[in-house]
Amino acid sequence: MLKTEKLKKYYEIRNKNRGKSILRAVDGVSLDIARRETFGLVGESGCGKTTLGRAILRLTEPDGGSIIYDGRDITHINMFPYRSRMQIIFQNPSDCLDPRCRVGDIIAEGVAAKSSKLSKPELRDTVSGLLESVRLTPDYAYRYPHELSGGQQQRVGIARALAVEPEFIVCDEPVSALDVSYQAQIIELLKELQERLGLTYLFISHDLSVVRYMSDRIGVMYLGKLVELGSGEDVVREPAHQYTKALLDAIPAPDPITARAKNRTHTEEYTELGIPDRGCRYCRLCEYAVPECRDEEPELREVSPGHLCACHLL
Amino acid sequence: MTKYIIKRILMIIPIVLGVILILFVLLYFLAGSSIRQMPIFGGGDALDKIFTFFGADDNFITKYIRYCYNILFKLDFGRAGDIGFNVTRELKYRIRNTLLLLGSGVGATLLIGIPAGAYAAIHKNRIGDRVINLVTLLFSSIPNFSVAFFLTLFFAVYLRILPVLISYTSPKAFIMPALTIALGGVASIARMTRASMLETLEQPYIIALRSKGLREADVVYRHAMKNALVPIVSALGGLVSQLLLGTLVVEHFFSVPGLGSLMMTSVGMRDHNTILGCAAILTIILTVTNIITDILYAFINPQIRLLYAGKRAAYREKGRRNEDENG
Amino acid sequence: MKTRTADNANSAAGLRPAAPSSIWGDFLRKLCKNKTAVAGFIVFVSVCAACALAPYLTKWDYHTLDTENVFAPPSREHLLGTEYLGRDILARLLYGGRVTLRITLVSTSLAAVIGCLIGLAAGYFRGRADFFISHLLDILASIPVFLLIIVTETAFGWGRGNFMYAMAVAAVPQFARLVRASVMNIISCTYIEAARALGVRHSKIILRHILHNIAPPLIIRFTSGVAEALIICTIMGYLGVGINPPTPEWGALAFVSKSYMRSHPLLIILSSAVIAVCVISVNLFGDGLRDALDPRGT
Repeated sequence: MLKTEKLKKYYEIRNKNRGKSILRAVDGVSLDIARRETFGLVGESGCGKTTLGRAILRLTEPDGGSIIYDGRDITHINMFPYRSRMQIIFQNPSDCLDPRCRVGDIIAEGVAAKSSKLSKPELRDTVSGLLESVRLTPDYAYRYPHELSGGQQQRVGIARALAVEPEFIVCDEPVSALDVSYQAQIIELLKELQERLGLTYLFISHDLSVVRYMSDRIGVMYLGKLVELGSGEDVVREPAHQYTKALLDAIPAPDPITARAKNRTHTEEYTELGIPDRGCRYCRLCEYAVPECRDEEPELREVSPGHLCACHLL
Repeated sequence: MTKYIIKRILMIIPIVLGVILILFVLLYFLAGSSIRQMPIFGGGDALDKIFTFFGADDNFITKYIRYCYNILFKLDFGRAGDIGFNVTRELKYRIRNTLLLLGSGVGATLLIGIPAGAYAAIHKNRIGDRVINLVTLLFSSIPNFSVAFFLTLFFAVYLRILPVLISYTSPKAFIMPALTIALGGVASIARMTRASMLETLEQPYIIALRSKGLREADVVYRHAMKNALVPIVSALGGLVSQLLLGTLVVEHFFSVPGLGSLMMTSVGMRDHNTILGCAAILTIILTVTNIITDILYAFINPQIRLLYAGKRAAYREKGRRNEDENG
Repeated sequence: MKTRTADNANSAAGLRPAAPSSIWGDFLRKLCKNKTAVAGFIVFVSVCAACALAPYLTKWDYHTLDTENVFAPPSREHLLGTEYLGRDILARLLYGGRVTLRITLVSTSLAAVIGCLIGLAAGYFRGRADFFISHLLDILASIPVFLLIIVTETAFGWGRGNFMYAMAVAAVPQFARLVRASVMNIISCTYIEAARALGVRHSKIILRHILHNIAPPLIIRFTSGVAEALIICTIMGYLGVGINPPTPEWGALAFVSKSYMRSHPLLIILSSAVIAVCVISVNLFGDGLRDALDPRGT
């Protein structure tokens, strides 16, 4: 249903001392998402997963590659007809709702953007219906965002995305900013909506345990590159890439006895080093790195059917 | 740090040239050559020759470039109305007066505003706070000439303790002008000090100091005050620009020969060179104060100091801070 | 009042509020509770009204000389007495207020509108225009306001109208910079991105989200702008910039009475008091607005 081919997004960075440099936030990512599927995208903060999500919706214009939606290349066309088919749910619910609009108006804005011919009572009914579908009572329409809790705000964000009756939704860290108790509710709501409305999700998170629970297939991103791609089971049970293994190690185990000793630590300093010009992007942290890793960038290769990994060692 | 200071000082030149360009365009394009509009009796070839000699009829760009060149390399502001008295000499004579007035005004503002603001913050929502708020608001709402008038009436006419005329021998003569200039800015400085002091007093480290059992006076005056004054420093540039208007009025009211009064007279005479000269000097004064405040701010604010101190020093500082936190 | 219509226009979608809890409604209620703010508003409006109705409040003209009655004390004929040429002081104050207040309000409104447009254009569309505009504004902001007024006026010729425009020009940078900064601040919020993702058009985004959100700082800036303009206008009048002698203006009135301040201080006291009352009332109203618009307040 959605396919990206070598999608790129570069940012120019002006440093105080060193002049301009280019940050390759998303560097040639190819993935495809099937209808009614949840594709989980996981990676540490700053690895370009959010940028990828926004570039797919063309909220930031990609610098290279192409986006194919429903068999049509939408990389350079006018997005207005597609806006109602693809939506996004944001990370920070308090920031994504206009503080001076009522919840009803926020949702109605989406409904009106899809079909402007609705009469006022029709509009009101649609908004109430949308609120009910995210488990909020219709009288929330008259409240202001700051009167709601984080979980309720996120529900409003979901209702706004649903207002245009989309097929495909980018969930950009939808639960990261929420309390754990709300996280579960929102995740269940997203699952239920997917079943009922036949939605397709691109589910972005830095939390592998959440992604694992939600997704049919998982892609692991590291510094702008997709390093591993496969079904949820494959990626979690038999991680192929060293980075994925490090990520899995970082999940705190619920049982302290079975908790594995953490042998890899990722500190911010390493990310600050920037992206190496050539070679595998993970080579400086990888304990199995061979000279080849520093010189040549690995491509995604199939390690088992449907399970791809970009590593020279396999 | 030196690099930063040099960079900032070199920035004066484009700003002043930009300001002069704007004023030049306004004056020369729209108002035309000043000398041609003066009612000069007589005429004929001799007068034309004089005009040509002094370049009064040159076109706009030639004039602008010549003007900037003369200022930058010869410190020459030209002649009044292109052919009259030497503007540079006149400016030199008057800068001192204006700076003295302005300086005493700024000093008085800070001397009154900061203690008032600090007092209001410490006595938040009590009667002292309210009174200070009301009084400063009242004074900032009266135009400077009225303040000057009431001060004169009270101190010079009624009490007869302060002289009306400025003289450099008696500092007493500066009290009324300084107060007149200051009262416009006291309200904003007091408010700013109060807000910043209140914010500082709510910081965790102040609470920690209190819980350590430090005397309240030490907490406020030794620790909080120092940090609360940082934003005030950055507001100094704006304050000077605000007080310039008051200086203008004071020069007028107390008949001080300063830049402002020179400009007002030359405006009446449509004497563009003198207006421009005054404007340039005033802009330089403002820009220089802005730069001084920026540098001061950078010096007292470690976050900015580090930004320009280079990476190595930053790491060193970071290490030191970590040690501080751990030890 | 303005805010109320903006609210009605923006509660698009026809969703009638069940509970009357709207942000602008809250704001008005909070403002009405603030007694000093209400008092400030009432005083300023009544001064404006008195000046506007000057011909009905006094039978005297501001320029009729009464040389027999120079420096007359307050009487039934001349309620506040007469000045050095025997002109009625009350009439001169009222007619002077017309000049001063009109210049102040019109120039500040003009500056607000122009500054808003410039700031919106620069902040929303960014790019090269923004680079040019913001640098120009920075330079303009480094010129003292009175300098800009004096030079603009010299350039366009002296007169009341030009003085008003000069005041507006001098105040534009403050508004434009404020609007530009707030617009850029708002644009970085994700709700703008959400609206774009929904396919809402630029014009609607500007109207509904951006104008709505920059209104509070703009309103506060407007009131303090009016207070500043009042002071600057009267000082300029006092210095003799822009307003020519027969026209009464509060600052100019103070100037002419300066020569008689020891023997007959009434006029300078009255004109100072009138200016101070106006500025204070505007400032108090502005303070109330600031408190009422502050989201942190309860």
